[in-house]
Amino acid sequence: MEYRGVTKSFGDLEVIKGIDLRLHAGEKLAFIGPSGSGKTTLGRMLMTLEQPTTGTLTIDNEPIWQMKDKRGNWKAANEAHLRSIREKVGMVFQHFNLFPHLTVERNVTLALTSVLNLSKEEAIGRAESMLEKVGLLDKLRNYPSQLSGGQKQRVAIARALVMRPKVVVFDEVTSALDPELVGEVLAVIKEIAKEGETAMMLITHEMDFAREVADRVIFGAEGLIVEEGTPEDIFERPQSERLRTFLSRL
Amino acid sequence: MWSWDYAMDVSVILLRALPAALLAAACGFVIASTVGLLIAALIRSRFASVRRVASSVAHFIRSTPLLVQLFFLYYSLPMLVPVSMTAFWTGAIGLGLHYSTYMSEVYRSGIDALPKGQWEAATALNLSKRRTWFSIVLPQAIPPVLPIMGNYLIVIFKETPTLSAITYVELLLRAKNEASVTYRVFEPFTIVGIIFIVCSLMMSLLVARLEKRWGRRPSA
Repeated sequence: MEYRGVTKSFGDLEVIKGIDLRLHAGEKLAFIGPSGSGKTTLGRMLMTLEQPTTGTLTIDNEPIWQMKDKRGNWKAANEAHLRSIREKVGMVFQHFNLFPHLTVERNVTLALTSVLNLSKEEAIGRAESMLEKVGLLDKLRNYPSQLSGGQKQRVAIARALVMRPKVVVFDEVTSALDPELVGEVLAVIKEIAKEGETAMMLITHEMDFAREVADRVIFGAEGLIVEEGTPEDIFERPQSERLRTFLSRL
Repeated sequence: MWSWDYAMDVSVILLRALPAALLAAACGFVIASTVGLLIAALIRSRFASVRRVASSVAHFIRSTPLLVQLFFLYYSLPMLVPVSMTAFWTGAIGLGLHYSTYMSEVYRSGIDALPKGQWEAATALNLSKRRTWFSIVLPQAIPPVLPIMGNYLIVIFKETPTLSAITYVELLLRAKNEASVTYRVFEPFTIVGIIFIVCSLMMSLLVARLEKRWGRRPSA
């Protein structure tokens, strides 16, 4: 996955001012930085929820927002192309976005049966083993409203991972949680990171978590990448004044 | 002036026309609900041209009187195209089309109330547009607006006397026919009014129960 000269403006406001970034298969990348630095927008672009204003985003060397027509000329991606891209990407949202009218089981199996066309039995089997991994097998028949915030987020993680995407965007997944519920969600992500071939883009404010899970940490501010490196580089030997100030304020 | 004997007799006659009125209202309601949903979906289309056409058509239908539309469907349309519909179907379709434009607004309010995150989660799961509408959007958008839809059923029912203008024998036309035979105008029209009050009241009780059942829904 690669960002090449990506910018994004909302009206007059330029949120992303030019990002070049590569993410390798299976790599765990943590994105830290002050609010408003455009971290979330970067993740949303990968999930096809936002379109870059300029620059290109590719997955497996295939541009997300462009496609070739029959004559081989580039043109804007259509829905079918975007859907083929989305097969490779998953996302966990800050506010869970579970479907409140469906049970936990149906939340997790819906896309398995209707997008991947699995049989009901296969889908339930995959959902159950995924829910077991996040420790919520006993909540299959419950509705999201009957769960705590931490449990909801774990269901959302299961819902995204059960599709076996190549990369999952975790967009500040603990920011909306009560402090005492943060631990259980992070523990689940760590667990999955350990075993996983799934690449992760972890947009987070949890520094200890980023340090522990990530292969590489990116510090961004005001729409630009300020510094990047291994967790040790970033947290032990920050180079820029910007990053030092940011870390000292935590 | 008021004869109880005649009132009883004419009540029986008028009540026999009630099913015709109810049936027209029911068919009109089904058409309005279906077409209304279609308009609501088209107004949210990805294509600007589709959105424009859908909202202009809806605006046009809403801005012309139902009576004019009924006359056009019943008398003018058969001159343009070789279709001839019975008064009943003309009435049901006329009522349905007219109120579909209002019903689309009802659906719209339900759809707009859905958090943006629900659409985004559907996108993130790679659900098709159709699947998103039928499994995610509508099951959440419709229950809260069912009571408002119920109110439109009552409105449509109260509008059925308009169909008398295209010779559909519902309550009002039956009463008029009676009056023209007996020359007694007081009882038939009063009783038509009473029948409407009673039916409307019963329907609103039903709607109130719907509201209780569906009014409050759990949130995410």
